[in-house]
Amino acid sequence: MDSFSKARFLAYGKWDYTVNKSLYRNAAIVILVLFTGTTLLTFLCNQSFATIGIESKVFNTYQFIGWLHNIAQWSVAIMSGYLFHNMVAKNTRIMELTLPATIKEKFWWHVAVNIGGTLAVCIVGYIVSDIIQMLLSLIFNGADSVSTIIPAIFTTNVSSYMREFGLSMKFENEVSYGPDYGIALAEAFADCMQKLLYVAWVLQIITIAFYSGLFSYVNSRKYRHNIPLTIVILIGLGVVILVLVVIAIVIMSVYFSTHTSDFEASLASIEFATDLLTRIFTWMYVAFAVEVILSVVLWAGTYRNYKKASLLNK
Amino acid sequence: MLEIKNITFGYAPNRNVFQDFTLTFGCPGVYGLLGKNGTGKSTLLYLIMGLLRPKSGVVSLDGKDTSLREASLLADLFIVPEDYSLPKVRLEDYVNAIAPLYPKFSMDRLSKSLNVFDMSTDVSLGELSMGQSKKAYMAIALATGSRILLMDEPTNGLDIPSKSQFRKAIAAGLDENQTVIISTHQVKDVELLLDHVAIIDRNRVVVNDKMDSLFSDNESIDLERLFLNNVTH
Repeated sequence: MDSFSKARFLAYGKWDYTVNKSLYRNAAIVILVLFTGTTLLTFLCNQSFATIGIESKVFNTYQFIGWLHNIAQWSVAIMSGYLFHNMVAKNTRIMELTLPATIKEKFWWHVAVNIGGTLAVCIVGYIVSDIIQMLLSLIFNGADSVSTIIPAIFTTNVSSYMREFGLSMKFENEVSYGPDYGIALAEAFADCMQKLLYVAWVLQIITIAFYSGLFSYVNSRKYRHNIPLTIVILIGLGVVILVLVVIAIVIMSVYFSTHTSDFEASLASIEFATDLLTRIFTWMYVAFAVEVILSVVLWAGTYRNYKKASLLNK
Repeated sequence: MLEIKNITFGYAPNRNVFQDFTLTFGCPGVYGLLGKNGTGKSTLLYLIMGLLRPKSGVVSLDGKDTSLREASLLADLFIVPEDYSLPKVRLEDYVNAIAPLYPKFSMDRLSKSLNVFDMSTDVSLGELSMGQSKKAYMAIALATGSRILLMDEPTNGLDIPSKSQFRKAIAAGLDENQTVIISTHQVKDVELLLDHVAIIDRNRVVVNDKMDSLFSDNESIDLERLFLNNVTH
């Protein structure tokens, strides 16, 4: 039984890096270009809105960070789809399968370089984006406008919107009905939103594991980078989620139709939304569990396929 | 000892290339593996390397199943396939990358083989012709120090001087513990190099003997005649 040897792992890594240097270098360049391009575009859009006196809601910090998160998430997923790039051509497959390193050593090298390496490039991307946006702010808007986006990286844009939405509901109730009406409910709602922020963040991290598991599993089946198949699977999952959302909206509509006055409807909506959010936590924990299980199953399947690989696999 | 024992293998479910096939490569030396087209010579090399898995039976090196592809076992096996392309890197860089994986890798032996092939490590693999890249690959194979070297049609793509260089490199680059199995149709290119010959025909080993036994001292070596006398037409 072969054990895991660090020396062999690194020796195999050296060989793989020598053979695939251009692939890794090009992938890193594309990721960094996406990060810097998004930063420049966002800043230019914000500047354009500012010149006509509109403070952009679409391109605020959280939205900007959200896009960077999306780039990072998809970069990791797509690079997971290149896990077995050595298996595509017959001659590189022969080398991959016959080089004297264990299956574990080869597999973990690919995971380390394709996923760990991509994450490392993304971290560089966040830092470069931050530096660029701070420099641009300094040049165009002066020293007072310079602030780092790094703390915002640890929250998600979606959950931040939710938090803002919750706080605005609280504010609107205060203005419309005075501090005695519905404030407690609105505060509870805002608290729920805050909690949701953290839960959604954890969910996003797990989703990265799930996406990379899905892409690597598809890659381990066919070796080609099968983006269409992977996207079809993701769309399928998206449709399931959408159906659940539609059901929730239908239930909400039925609930609101029983409350006629504006005030009643407003209180009812907060009550309902708080109740719904509390339930959402439960469903999000279920989603955690499902995503973790699916990720483990997909990664186990990927390893199994690699272990069984031969010259015959198509 | 490299042992192919009672293997059954086929690419299609109902059509086997090998059925209960057995062949043993006992002592070290240079083996010629001959057979008509489609008899499964390349397939046999892939089975030995563990690149293909038999439906039944086992291929083992010193009792260890090669299909398990254990790292220690793979260090003792190296294949030079018929078709391949080398990465577009400098030979020196490639050698530096591959050498740490083979505990018995010898830079000295690499230099000697490259000298025989009239090459140096200061070349880009992507820019080499088919014949040159084949020579580079064979020099690497010899330098790995692997006990079993498998070569599939090694003289294909080599010009006449290179074929002679190939024979010299094999003769000079091997030690007494190494086995080279050469699968080829170009019998004239290798016949003076061989210590043993194995001829397979219709799932049977029809010849598996030392060259000394097959050709007496006063008889000139003629593998083509031996082949034609032993395979069905």
